[in-house]
Order: sequence, then structure tokens, then C-alpha cells
Amino acid sequence: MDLEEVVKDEDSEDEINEGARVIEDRRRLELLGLSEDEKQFVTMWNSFVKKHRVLVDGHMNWAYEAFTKYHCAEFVHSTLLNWSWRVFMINLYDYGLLKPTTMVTCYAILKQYREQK
Amino acid sequence: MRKQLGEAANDALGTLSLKINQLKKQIQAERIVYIKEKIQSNEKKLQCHTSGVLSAITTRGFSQTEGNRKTPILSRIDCPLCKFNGFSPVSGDKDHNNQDVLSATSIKIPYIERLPPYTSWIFLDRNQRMADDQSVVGRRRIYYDQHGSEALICSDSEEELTEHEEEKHEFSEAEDRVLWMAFEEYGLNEEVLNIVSEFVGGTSSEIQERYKSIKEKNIGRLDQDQPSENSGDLESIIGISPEKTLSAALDSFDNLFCRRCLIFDCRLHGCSQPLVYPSEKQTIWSDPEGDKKPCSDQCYLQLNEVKGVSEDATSGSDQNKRTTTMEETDGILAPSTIEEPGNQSTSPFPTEVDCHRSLNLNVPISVSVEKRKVINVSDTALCDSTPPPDGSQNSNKKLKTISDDVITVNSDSSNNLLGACDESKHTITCAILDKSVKHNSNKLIDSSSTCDTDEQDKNIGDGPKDPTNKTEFKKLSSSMEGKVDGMPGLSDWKPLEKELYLKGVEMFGRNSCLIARNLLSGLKTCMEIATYMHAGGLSMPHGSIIAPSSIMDDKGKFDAEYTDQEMPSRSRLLRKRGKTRKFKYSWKSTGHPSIWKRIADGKNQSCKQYTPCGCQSMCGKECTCVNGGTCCEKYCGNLGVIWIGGFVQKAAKIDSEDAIVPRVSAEVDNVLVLLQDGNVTQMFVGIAGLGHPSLCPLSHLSPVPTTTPTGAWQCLMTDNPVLSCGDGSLGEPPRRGEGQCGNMRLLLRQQQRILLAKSDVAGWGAFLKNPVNKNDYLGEYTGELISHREADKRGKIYDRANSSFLFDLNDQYVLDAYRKGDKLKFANHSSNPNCYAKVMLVAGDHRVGIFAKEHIDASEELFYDYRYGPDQAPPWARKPEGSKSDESTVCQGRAKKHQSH
Repeated sequence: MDLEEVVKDEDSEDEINEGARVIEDRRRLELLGLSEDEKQFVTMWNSFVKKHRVLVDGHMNWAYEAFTKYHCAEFVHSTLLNWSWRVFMINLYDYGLLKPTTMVTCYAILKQYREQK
Repeated sequence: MRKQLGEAANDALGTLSLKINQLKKQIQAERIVYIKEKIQSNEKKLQCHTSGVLSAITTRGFSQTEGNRKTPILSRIDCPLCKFNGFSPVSGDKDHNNQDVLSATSIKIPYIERLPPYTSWIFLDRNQRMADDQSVVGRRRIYYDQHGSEALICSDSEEELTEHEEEKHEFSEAEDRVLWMAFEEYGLNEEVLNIVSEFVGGTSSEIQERYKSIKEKNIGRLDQDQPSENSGDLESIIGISPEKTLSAALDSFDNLFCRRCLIFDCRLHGCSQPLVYPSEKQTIWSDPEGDKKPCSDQCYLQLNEVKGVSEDATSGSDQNKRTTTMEETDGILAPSTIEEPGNQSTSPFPTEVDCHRSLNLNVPISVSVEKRKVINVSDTALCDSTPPPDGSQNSNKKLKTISDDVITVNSDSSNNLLGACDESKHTITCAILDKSVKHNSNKLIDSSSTCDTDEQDKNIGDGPKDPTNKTEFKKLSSSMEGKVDGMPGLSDWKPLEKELYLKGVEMFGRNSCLIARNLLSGLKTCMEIATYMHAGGLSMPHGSIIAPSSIMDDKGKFDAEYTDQEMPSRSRLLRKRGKTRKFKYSWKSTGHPSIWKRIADGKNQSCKQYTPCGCQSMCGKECTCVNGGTCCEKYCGNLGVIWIGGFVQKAAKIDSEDAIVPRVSAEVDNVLVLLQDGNVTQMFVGIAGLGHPSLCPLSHLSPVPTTTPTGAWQCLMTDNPVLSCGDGSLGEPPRRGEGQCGNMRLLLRQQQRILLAKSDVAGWGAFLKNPVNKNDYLGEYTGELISHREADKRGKIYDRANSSFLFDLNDQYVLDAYRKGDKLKFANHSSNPNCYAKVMLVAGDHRVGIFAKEHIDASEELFYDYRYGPDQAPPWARKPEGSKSDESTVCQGRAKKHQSH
């Protein structure tokens, strides 16, 4: 390592190698028998969680709203993805991780985007 | 007879063998043809590639001369640049002339120490479970013996020889065809099997299985040819087959989603974790202002603006009352079952607010009101453009009056009655007529004004109102008799839609606007949902439209049912209170013998691996958490409580029973509100007293309202700097916003920067870049989670190489950092270390953290005590005499290197 690298504050352990992780995850998902959109949705969510450090339950409400905002284009355009998104939201609600208000907000986000188009 | 049959059968089977032979030959012939064709086509393909090269060769071949054929090296062999002959110095005296030896000046090459051997390893930021194919059990392993410097196969007498598995027979395509033909024509019986197995390899069971799988494949193919008809419409909207139920769709996500790590396909906890749903979900959705706009042009609230104006004028005082009730319900996010038992008939039904205005109605009454309205709607819906008969309008008025009465009665009697109905919704549904809109609305305004005065009159007393209301109901019901019509379009609700509707009701209450917008968007309109709801959907236990006279029975039943439902919970509440009075939780709690014993022992007992228990109400004898001595975490089923370390301690100190607060999801304000609520709500059996590391209240985390959460996360419940929850060093009860629980540092990965370099003692070592103070968190020792058995096997090889990456985690797992881990695996052992390792329970997972034992300067190497048992340590780890014992870590067991047994 160069002296600069040693002295710098960046830690290589914090690196997120997005591409490699996505490929690895995809390979594992291939074996599981999901549909294409489900796989895509799963990958999207995992990337989002890793990147934005969603760590605990308390983050979930914020996280799902942010996730919706971030990917609203894809959810609006693809009906299959939209369905996965909806089902996952219900799933999270069942776990007690999402509040109904969050769900309403998320739908509102999508609706807003749709109207803008 | 039998003989004949037998002969016939034999004949048949004889022909079977013939047929199989024929088929075989046919297949072989086909194969030959196929191969031939393949070769020919390959030849053609090759030609285009090789033609260029061949032509080049032929052209060049003629221009070569003899001399050029020799390669440069061969040509030089006779006249080298320099010749060097060696001569032994012994015979030097005689043959001076022949000494061609050039005296070579020798240089002493400085001795440089070898670099330690590199290993390739995979970086893990979280522990990972070992995949099954990574196991060393049953495999022959090769290791490199340092002394002999050769590769040896490790074989132990203890090692069990795994059975050589019979190789599964792989069925080729030809065999598949044979199978298919044979079984299709001759059936699946033993004789056929025998004959077939002569031709085809594999055991008879394998053959049978194969046949079945072929059959399924073929059937599947047939099915695909016939597409389903009615899915087209729905499919285009949401993209899936509506025949699929919601639960099936949820299933696929359920399998994958890891509730603890919040990602899919978690590599730490694996897939298909047993589902543990919280026993109390967030069902309260409150929206005091309400959305007064109609949600769409299909919404039944279309005429809202006309009505809304009038209502504003008339119901000023009521609004105040309503908003106060709403505020109360806002402040108490916990379900109503937790409130004082003095609350009569607390409905377990979730708080519901309609999107128009907040009104609290007892559900049973609302249901019956709705029913009558339903009847009205069907009437009016049928006669679209014609103005409604006066009769129905009058009944509108009457109904509104009555429902208003009902409202006031209920809001008077108990403010906390949580059950709403869309009262105004009903008035408007009555008015769903395009043309006669204004006409209706005027009438409605009138009725609302009248009802207002009515309300004020009736505000005085509530008790005696009930019977009068009931009689009025009965009057109405009689007038409504015979007007029951079939509801349009109830039957074309697909099961999926019905399930979504139910979900919507669970979440939002009987609020068709919300349900339409959110769950059923694209599938059903608000109007359709409203009508479905009024028709009694599926959410009502006594569902269908029945004769109005029996509606009162229903009401009675409803009441009974609701009270039944909440009676047990109330009694549970009482029982729990009793328990809390008995035990005063303190450090020396005797309430939970199993855990206390462990603490008292103080030995190196490894703690149990945590898995969420599925207890729904209270952790009883079957609770895995209780039996295992692990504390319930927020993933467990019974989520009435969260444990807050400091808070419990406070309770113990002041000897009150105020201790536990219901679980909340994370909004900061709500946490505070709940803290101030002094009532005990529930308590776990399984949770020990204070000091358990799992008391880290991670469930409180909520983002500071900025865009990203990083860096601003804080454990809201801790105050003074503590090592970690459950360390024993908790002082004052925590206030929010300051300090941080030690476990948080692992969760948030607030580690130090570690550098790798050649160690001062052996091999590679880990060094610190920045100075740290005592008890600072340095990093997490990550690795593969392997079983103890696996660890023993791997350990044998590691020990031979004098390196050890195994770390005892708990009774179920060992961490192995040999193949996967992070930089801290390079930290060496020392009997006089400057760091220590500690197994911590962070959000239900055991993790190993490395902490500084004293102040460490930058660029110093990190050492910690591997904590081998006295007789187990390898020679380099033997302590000199007079070792000091480290402080014990409560209940967690000492972090120590794993020893193979």
C-alpha cells in the first residue's frame, strides 16, 4: 500500500462492491425458483438495504418509503414489479414492521409519480 | 384361467423385451445418423476457419531455404558468447595452463526474512453460515507438514468413514424413452420393472421415480397448451394469475425474507426460517383531518364538497369532541387492550377512522346501520337516473338521524370506544345519483341540521337512549323489509381480491377509500369496495344479507363476540400483574432460576444460540426462550414488551411495578409517551433480570429526520456511556438521546481502522492506525459459522499448522475465520495482551467483538488472549507463571479459541 492509502481514513472494509454482490446474490437466487420480477425485486431491495444501512426494525418505515421513492419509476412502469412491491409491503405489515400510514404514503408516492408522467 | 393369464402376461412381457430391443436399436440408429450429421456440419464450420491458415502455410512453404530453417538458438551453439569450464582446485598445481576458471567474486546476499505465507481469504462483514458443501466432514484433506515439507493426507482413527454412497443413476434421454414406452404400454408393475431394469441401469425405485417425473413433465406440457381464460384481464393489470392466492404470493417472499436481517436470502440465518408474527400488529390508523377529497371519480365521496360545507357549519362542537378523542388515540399507539380495565367493552377491533371525519361508533351498531344503508343503496343504484322516491329520502333522513343519535350515545359513554364507521359515507352513498345531486344534498343538509339539534338535546343522558334507539331501529327494519335485493357484482370477486380486501380491513378498518387506493388499486374501485363492504363482505362473522328483523340478533351476537375476545386478554392482564407483584426484579433476582444459576456459576458455559420463540400470548413452559435460558427479543411472537435495561433497573430500585412498556415501532415521541405511562402491561417469564446483553433496545431506533440515517443512529434509551447493555455497569436509568449502548457499535460497524503487516511475533499481525482508549471497540471478528463437530475436524488440521482461527461462539456454533473473515483474524495471541475478545448478543445474534484493554497507541500490534484452557494451549501460547484472570463477562461465556477434542 502507498503511504497515502495507509494514512487515509477510508477503510477497505467499508467498501461495497455492488456489482460483485449482485452477481453472487443472483446466482444464489437462481436456484430458488422465483420468477424474474421477484428476483429483480429481491435484488433491488437487498442493494438498497446494504447501501443505505437499514439495520433495525425502527428503520423500516423510513426505509420502505425511501425505497419506493428511489425506484418509483420501475414500480410504476412494470406491473409485475408493482405486484411484488405490494405483496412485500403486506408481508412487512404482517411482521409488524410497517405501519398502515407508511403504506398509504408509499402508495401516494407512486400515485404522484404516475400523475407527473 | 390363471395359466392362460400368466401365459398371456408372459407373452405380453416377452413382446416387451422385443420391443425394448427394437427401441434400443432404433435409438442407436438415430444416434449414428445424428453423429454423422454433426461431423459433417462441424467440418464445414472448421473449413472457414482453417482455410485461411492452410493457404498461408502452403504459400510460405516454398520460400523457405535451408539456412533459415535453423532456429536462432541452435545456430549459436558452436559459437557461444562465453564458455565457462569448471575445474577442481585440488589439481590446480599441475595444470596451470588449463585453468580456465574465472575467479568469481562472490557477493554476500543480505539475509532477508521471509514474508509470511499469503493465504487467500474472503472478506465478510457479517458472520455467515457454512454452506453444506463446504464441510470437511467425510473428505480427505491434504495438509503440508512443515518438517517434512511434503503433502500428507490427514487421516485419523477417530474419523468415521462415510459410506460410499451409491452413485445415483443418471438417466439418459434414450433410457427415458424406453421407460416411457414400456410403462405407458404395459403399466407399472413389477415384471415390467424387472425387464426394464435389465436394459436400463439403476435400482427399481429410481426407475419408478424417474417415470413419475417424466409423467409430470408431460402433463405439465399439456397444461401449458391450454391457457386459462379468465385470467387475462386481471393478469394484465397486476401481472399475476388471479387464481394464485395472496398467501401463495406472500409465501415466496416469506421464505426468503429474513426478519432479523431485513434482507432476502440471508446468509447468516438461512432461508425458510420459521415464521413468527407478532401477536399484536399495528392496526391503528388514525387520520384526524381525514382526506375530504374523493379518492377518485369512482369514489362514493363524490358529492363531498357540497356536503362538507354544510357539515362544517353544523357540527362545530362535535368536531372538538371528536378531535380530542382522536388525539388520545393518537397518543396511545398501543392497541386498546392495554388500557385500564375499567374501560368497558373495549373493542379489540382496530381503531378506524373514515376518510371523511372521525367518528367513533361501536362496530356492531355500525354494521347494522350499514346494512340498512345497503338496502338503500341497492335501491338507488338500480334506478340510476330517476330521482329517488320520496320514501327513501325520508328514510335517509331518518337513518341519518338515528345514526347520529348512535354516535352521540357512544361518544358520550366511552371516549375510548374505538371502532369507527363511515357515517357520513353512508349518507352520501344514499345520494349516489348523478342528476339529482343537489336535490339530495339540500335534503341532507336539512337533515344534518335537524340532527344536530337532536344531538344537542340528547347529549344530556345516554343510558336511556339505548332502548329508544333500538326501538327506532326496529321501526326502520320493518319498513325496510322486503327491500332486500341481490347485490350486483358480489360474485365476481376473485379470491385474491377478497384476501386483499380482508387485509385492507385489517389495516385500515372499514375504509373503502383507503383500501381502494392502496391495496386494491387497479383491481376494484372504491365504489365496488364500498358495496362489497356493505354487503357484508367476508369480514363480518355473520356475513350475508339477512332479513332485517334478525339484525338485532346479530348485534347482540357481535357484542358477545367482542366481549368474548377481549375478556381473556383482560384476565391475562390481571394475571400478569399478579406475577409482577411477586417478583421484584433486581440484580439478584431469584425469579428465574435457570439463568441465575448460570451467572452464579461463573463458569465458561457457553450460552445458547437464540432463536425466536413463537409464543403468542405469554411465554410459558413450551417457550424455547425460557427453556434455553435466552431472553426473548423483538423477533419473538409475544411482543407486548420490550426490555429496556436501564428502565427495568429503575423500577427495581424504586420497588414499583412500573416497568415495562408496550412495544412500539420506533417513533420517538411515542416512546416517550409510553414511558410516562406508569402502568405495567405485560411481563415475560423468560427474561431474566438486568444485565442481560439482549436488553439492547434496538427496536427503538428511529432515524433522525434527515435524508439518510447514517451516522445519526442512536440508541435512544441509554444515557451514560456504558460498555454495553447488560454489562453490569448501567448506572442511572437512561434518557434518550445521549450515550450509546455498547452493542450498538457492533451493529453500526463503528470500528477502528486496522492495518495488516508482518507481525512482530509470528506471521501476519493486525495493527492499529489510530490510538484508542481503554474499552474502545476495535472491530468484530467475523467468520463462518460452523458446528462444533465441523470445528473439531477442521481444528485438527489447523493445529498441525500451528494456527488457529476457530472461536467458540455458543453451544451451537463456532466461528471459523480461516476461509472467510476479516482483518482481525490476524491478531495474534499473547498472554499479556492489549485487547480482549467478548461474545456479545446483538439483536439476537452472537457476535465477537474485540475491545481494547488499555490505551493503545497508533501503529501498535493488537494481541488478545486466546484463552486456551491450561492444558490445552499449544506451546507458543503457554503463559509464563502468574497469569491474571480477566474480568468475567456476564453470562456470555468467555470468548475463547476453540479446542478440538
